[in-house]
Amino acid sequence: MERESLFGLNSVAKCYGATTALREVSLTVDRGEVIGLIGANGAGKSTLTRVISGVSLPDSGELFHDGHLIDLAVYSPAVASRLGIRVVYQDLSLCTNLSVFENFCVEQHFAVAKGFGWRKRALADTKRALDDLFPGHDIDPRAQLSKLSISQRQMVEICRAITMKDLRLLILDEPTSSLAASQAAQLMTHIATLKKRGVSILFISHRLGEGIGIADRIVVMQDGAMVWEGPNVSVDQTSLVEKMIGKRLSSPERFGTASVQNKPVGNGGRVRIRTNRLSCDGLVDVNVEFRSGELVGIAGLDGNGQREFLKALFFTRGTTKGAVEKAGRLAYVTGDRKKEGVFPMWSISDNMSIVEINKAPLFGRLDLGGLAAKVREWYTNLSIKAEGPRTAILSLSGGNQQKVIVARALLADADVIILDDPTKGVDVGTKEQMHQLFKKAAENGKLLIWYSTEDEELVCCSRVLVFRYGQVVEELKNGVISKDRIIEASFHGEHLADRTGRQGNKTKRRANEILIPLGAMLAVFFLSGALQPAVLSEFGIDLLVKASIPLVFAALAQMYIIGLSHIDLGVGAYMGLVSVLCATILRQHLGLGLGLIVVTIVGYGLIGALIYLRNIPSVIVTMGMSFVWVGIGYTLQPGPGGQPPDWLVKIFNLHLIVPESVLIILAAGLLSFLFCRSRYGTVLRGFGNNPVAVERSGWSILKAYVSAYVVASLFSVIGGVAMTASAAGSDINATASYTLLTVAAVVIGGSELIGGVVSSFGTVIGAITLSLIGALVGFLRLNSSYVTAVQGGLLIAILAFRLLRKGEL
Amino acid sequence: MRFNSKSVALNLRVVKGIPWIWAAVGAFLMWVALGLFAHNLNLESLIATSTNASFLAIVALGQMLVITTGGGAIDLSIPNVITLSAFLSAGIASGSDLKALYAVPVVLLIGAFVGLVNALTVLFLRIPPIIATLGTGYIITTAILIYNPYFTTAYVAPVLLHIARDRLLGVVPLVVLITIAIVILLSLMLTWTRYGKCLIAVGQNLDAARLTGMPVNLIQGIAYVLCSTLAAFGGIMISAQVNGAFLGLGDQYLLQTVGSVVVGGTLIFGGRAVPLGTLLGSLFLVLLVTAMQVAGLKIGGQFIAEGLFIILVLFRLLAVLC
Repeated sequence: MERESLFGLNSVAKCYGATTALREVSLTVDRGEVIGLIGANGAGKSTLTRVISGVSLPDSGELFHDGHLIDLAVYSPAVASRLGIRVVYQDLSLCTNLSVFENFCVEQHFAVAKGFGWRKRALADTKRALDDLFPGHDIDPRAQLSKLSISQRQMVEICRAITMKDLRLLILDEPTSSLAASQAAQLMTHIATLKKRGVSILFISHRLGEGIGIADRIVVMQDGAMVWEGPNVSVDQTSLVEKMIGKRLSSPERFGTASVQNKPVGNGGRVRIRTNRLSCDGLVDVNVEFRSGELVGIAGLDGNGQREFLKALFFTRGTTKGAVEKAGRLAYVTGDRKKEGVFPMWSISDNMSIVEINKAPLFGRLDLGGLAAKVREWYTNLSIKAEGPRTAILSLSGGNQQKVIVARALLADADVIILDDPTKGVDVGTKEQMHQLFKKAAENGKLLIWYSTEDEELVCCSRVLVFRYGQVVEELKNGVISKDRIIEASFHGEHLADRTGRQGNKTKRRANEILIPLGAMLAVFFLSGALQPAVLSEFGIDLLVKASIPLVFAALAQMYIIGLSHIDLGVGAYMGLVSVLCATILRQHLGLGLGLIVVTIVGYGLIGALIYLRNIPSVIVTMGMSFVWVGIGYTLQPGPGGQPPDWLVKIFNLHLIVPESVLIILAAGLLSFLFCRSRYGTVLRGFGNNPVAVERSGWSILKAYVSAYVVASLFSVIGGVAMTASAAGSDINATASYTLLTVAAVVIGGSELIGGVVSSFGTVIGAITLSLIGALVGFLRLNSSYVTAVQGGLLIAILAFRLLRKGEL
Repeated sequence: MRFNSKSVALNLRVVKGIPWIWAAVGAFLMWVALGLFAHNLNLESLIATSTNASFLAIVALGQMLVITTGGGAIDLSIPNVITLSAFLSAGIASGSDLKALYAVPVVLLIGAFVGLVNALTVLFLRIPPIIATLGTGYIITTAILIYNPYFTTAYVAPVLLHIARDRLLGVVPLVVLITIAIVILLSLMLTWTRYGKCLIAVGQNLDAARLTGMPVNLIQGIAYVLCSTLAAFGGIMISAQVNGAFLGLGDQYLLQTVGSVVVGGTLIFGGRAVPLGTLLGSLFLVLLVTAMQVAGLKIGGQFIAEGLFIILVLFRLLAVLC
């Protein structure tokens, strides 16, 4: 059947430093075609994806869309998105601080209609999309993403991509890795639907059976080049593997369902691990006993407590929430090498010996020569492909990096080796090597506990424990272990579902967060009123609130910076400078004064740009700038004084029905709140949580950083102006202590220091509370030096209390 | 997010070069420039400056350890510990050599205690280091303000004066020798001991470090304790040098310690520490401040210059290495 070409690559090459990731790859994707992209690690699949989606530009070669040559000078993820190209990555690109439908909006910024009421429309669209793709799902589109399980998140991720309007080319990178079988089947059905609609799909998966099943054409890559392509009917799993590794497999049955004969392991081994009613982190009453010489497999659908079990075995001591008895040394081998495996700046040698050195006393001298010898031994044993043990580890391919991490445990001669999906994303050849290593280690008397998401790997184990809902639902013994039995057992235990009760009350938390600061504020207010009745009058309220205005605005400014997971050490100094400018230059030359203030706002935007472009920590830049602001302030006005323009003082002293100060802070809170809920405000919050993901959706990180910093500076400017107006003068040192106070206000108000969770009204309340504490200390006739200590203490208390509530303390 | 690919790529290049080279070059150029400008380009001026640099270096080496723990950790309580230690050492020793004998250990212990408080707040209350040390700093300031009215000492114990001001064989200042000894000790610690390797590991990847079984909390905690103890020691020396103590004594050291550490090649995100670089960076910075004063820059101008300097250092340091 003749198909039109949708996307094409012609002789595309890409190098990353010394590594050639793509070698003159030419590929055509036809309309309505499903291509299964298969390849070992380092084959170039990820690079190919990045090139097609505009994330990376090729060094040479051409890209075509609908037959037209693409202008590489302007090609970017945003352009690719407009061409209808969408990628669903293996590492989820969702923002955990946003709700499900907000995550959809961040992605489809071309699709969602603008204007008032966009949130309701987006919510309806999202619900419809989820129902379409995964009927029977249990996801609440209003739920904050952090409350969803991994498989739910993957569903959201896929749904978000698939429902993109004008989708032409969909690239799925290991989409079913976290899905249940039923959901994976729903996905495959939908892919078939998309195909009929003319959408092309590039399906990347290590699960060869899947790829063959769904694809029209299979493309095999190896070492950056395309080594084979052909219709799916002409291959099977075994021949695909042979094409990948370039040689015939020793035993063709490996990928079949025949159970491999398991060597029975003697029961005479010493008990190394015993658990008694282990019930933490979602596990429920797990009782196991593992001995030396065992190769124990851990299986089941991903996310049913397997990882928690492994980590509990490694970390838990004592008798909290069920006992874990351990004998001998444990070592942990992780499959997530980038996040928790590799030490990126070190060599292979340092990475390999890091567990072994734990045997030495903390401040004792290391036997560097002995370590080097051991490293050489294992370096050769595992045939690690590099220039030598002292090569930087990041120059290695993923598979070889994984070998180093496995070597870590072997070099240290640990008695118990815990393997957390060590072969995920690793090429077939290395996988084989690792299986042999594990078997040999068990034969040598080690206990290996091996969790794998690829069921067929575990057929060589002496027994396999299948997990479901945090419990062991089946133990497959010697002789009956096969991929089919494991899959079947993975679905046992449905009746155990309600025992774990992991579905928390989502809405409850949000309501709580504003009550605490509100309660604190009212408590301090009424306490002050008890000591000094004038506080409770309208005049008293006006006075106190007026005094808190500078802090309110400074806190709101800090909130936007904290929303990016940064911190601004110069917010007080900047406000002080604005205040000085108001009291000095603004009075004499209105134009010049305003101009200078605008210049400083631009300066703040540049700070944001600098932080992003140069990857300088915000702490340092803002610390440096705080000195610059103070320096300018000193130069303009060496001591307190100055006078604001008369019209300014008039504006801030209007006599309205409600105290003007109260109106001002309410307006500030409302303005900030509306901005955060706006389209771009949501995007900014997303950036504070997962900048990589939001950027991939086509938004500019640079613009976001600059915007956040400019918005922050605008709030500071208003605060500085208000401060001068009410104080009728300025002092560059007045706001020196604002850094801690603004952070405290933001935190007390319910925002979080990392992760982009912000609350505008909470921040306002927090600022007022802190300001009131200052007054309260005065009413209690305490030494004013105690004020900062009390305020700092409150901050620490709130943070500790939050930890307590999360149960992590 | 501790490591993104950009910073890792930059850091890999850094690994290949000599990390302290820029601090050395900068210090040398600054010394020559200052000497030519003030007409005193000789060894004596260098030795005099190096005494001042030593006070900064002692404290900066502590900051270096905290920064190395990674995750953007910076100890913002250092200036307050310095001031507190200055007050306490001068106050307790009260000009007597005998009292100085127990004043010094007491002050060092208090410094260690502050470090412990920092560590506990960061590691168990999970409060980000910047906030935690900021808070501790404020509490210390409150303590100083309460203590201040009772502080009456007009002079410092002779033995402390001797260490801070005198020279070995009339040539090398004692305090410089002490500083060099500390640099050597720390360098050895970082390369030859398990603690040093673990500290660097923690700074590179905390999750991975945990999974190797090392006591990550203890390792970070020790860094904070060492940092505050060094700050306390620095405070004792500084108070001996200025012959007393005053509010705000330690304030200038916040920016300057960070500057010295970063100029010297230690990575701001953690995972690599360069003691020699920190020492040379301190020298660079002190020369810079002296140059500004010689050039007649007023306090406002000096602030602006220092602020821009630290931003420029990080800006250019990373730009040059690209």
